[in-house]
Amino acid sequence: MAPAQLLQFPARGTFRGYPNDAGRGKSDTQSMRPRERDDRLRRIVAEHLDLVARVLRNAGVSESQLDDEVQRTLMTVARRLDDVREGAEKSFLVQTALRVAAHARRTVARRREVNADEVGADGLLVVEHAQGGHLSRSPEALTDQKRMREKLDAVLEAMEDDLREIFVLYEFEEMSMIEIAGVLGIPQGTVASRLRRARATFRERVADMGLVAPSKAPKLVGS
Amino acid sequence: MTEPKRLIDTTEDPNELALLQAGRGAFATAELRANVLSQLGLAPSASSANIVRFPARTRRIALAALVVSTLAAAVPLAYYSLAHKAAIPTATDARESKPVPVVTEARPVSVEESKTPEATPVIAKREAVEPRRVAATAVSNKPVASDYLALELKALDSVRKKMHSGDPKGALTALDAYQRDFSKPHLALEAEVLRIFALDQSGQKDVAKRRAQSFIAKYPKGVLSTRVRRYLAQ
Repeated sequence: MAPAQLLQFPARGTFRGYPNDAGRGKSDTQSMRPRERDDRLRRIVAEHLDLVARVLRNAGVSESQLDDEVQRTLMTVARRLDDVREGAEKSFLVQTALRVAAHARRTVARRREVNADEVGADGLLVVEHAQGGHLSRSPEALTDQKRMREKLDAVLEAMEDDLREIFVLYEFEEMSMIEIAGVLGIPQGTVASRLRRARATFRERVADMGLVAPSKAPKLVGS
Repeated sequence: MTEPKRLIDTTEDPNELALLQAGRGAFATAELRANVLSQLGLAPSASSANIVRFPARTRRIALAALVVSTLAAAVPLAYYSLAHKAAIPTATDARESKPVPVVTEARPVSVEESKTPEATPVIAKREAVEPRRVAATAVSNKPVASDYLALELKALDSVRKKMHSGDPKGALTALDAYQRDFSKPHLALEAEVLRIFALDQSGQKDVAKRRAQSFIAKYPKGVLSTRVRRYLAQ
C-alpha cells in the first residue's frame, strides 16, 4: 500500500473501516431504534465476547483485570455503535480492545514496583523460582495449562507492543494481514515485516526460557 | 501478498506449540457474559445470558414433554413405594410421621419450591400412600437399590431440616454422609446447592462463593443455577 494511503488511527468517536474503503464508516443504522440497537449489541456480545477477552488477555491485561477491561471495551463499543458500519463490528472491537489493553498496561507499569530479585539478566520477569517463587505457588501446584499461560504472558511481555499486537491478531485470532492492516491502520507490508520480527522474538524467548515439554517440572528461569 | 501459515500449524517445537495453544484458550465465562449484558442494559433471557429463545410453540411442546416424562417416571416410583416394604435400620432423626415426598424425576422443577427463600432441593412433592421408614443419613448403610432415589431424597430432607433449625454444621455433616452413602447420586446438583447455602450459613462465605461460582460456570442454565445466582447477587 502506498504511503499516501496510510490512514491515521481513527479519532475518538469515529471508525473509518478498512483502508481501501472510500466511505466513512458511518453505520447504516444511524437512527437505530432502541430495539434494533439492543439486538445488535446482543449479537456482538454473543459472537465476539470470547474474541475480546482473548485479545485483551494476550495483549497484556492480567487475569485479575480481565473482566473489568472486557466490560470497559464493550461499553466503549456500545457508546459508539452508531459510528460502526454493519459488518465491521469485529474490527472495531479488536481496535478498541487493543487500545484498552495498551492503557491498562501503561497503568500497571506506572504502579508496579519491580522487585530486583524477580528480573533476570535480560530484563525478563522470572516466571518461577525453584521454591516459593514470586507466584507464591510451587510449580507442582499448577496445571500444565496455567503454567503455559503464565509462560506465554512472560514471552509476550518481552515483545515490543507493535509486534505483540500483530502476533496476537495473526497467530491467535487468525486474522488476515489485510484485516490486521485495516484494524491497525498500517500498510500490509508493515504487517508482514512486524510479523516476521514478532515470530523471531517469540522463538528466541521460548528458547531462552529453557522450557521442558508440558507435564514436566519447569527449570529455573532467568538464571 | 501470500500469507505465511500460522505458527501453530508449522512449528515442531512442543514448547512453542503448548504456548500457542495456551494463547487460543477461550476466556469469557458465563458469569462475565451475564455481567456484560447487565452492564449494557440488556436483560439476560431467563436464567442465563446464553439461553436460546425458542418459539412459543416449541416451548409449549417442550413443556408438554416435560409433564409427560414426569408422570411417566412417577408411575414406577409409586409402584416401588407400595411394593417394597423391607425394614431398614433407622436413626433417631430419621423417623418421620408425615408422608415421605417422592421425587418424580432427577431434576424436576417445582414452582412452589423455587419461590421459597430458603435453600431447598427442587423436587416435585407427591403425597405417599403411607409413611415409610427409611435409612437416615446419620447411619452409613449402603441403601437398597430399589429405594435409592427415595433414600436420597430423604437424606437431603434431613439436611434441609438441619439448616432450617439453625444447624448448618449438622447439615454439612449430613451432606458428607450423603456423599459417602450414595456413590452415584441422582440429586448431586441439589446436594451441591444445599452445601453452598450451608457453607454460607456456617460462616464459610468465601468457600461458599467459590463453589457457587464454579457451579454457575459448570451449569449456567436451569432453576438451580438461578437460585445460586440469586445467592451470589445478594
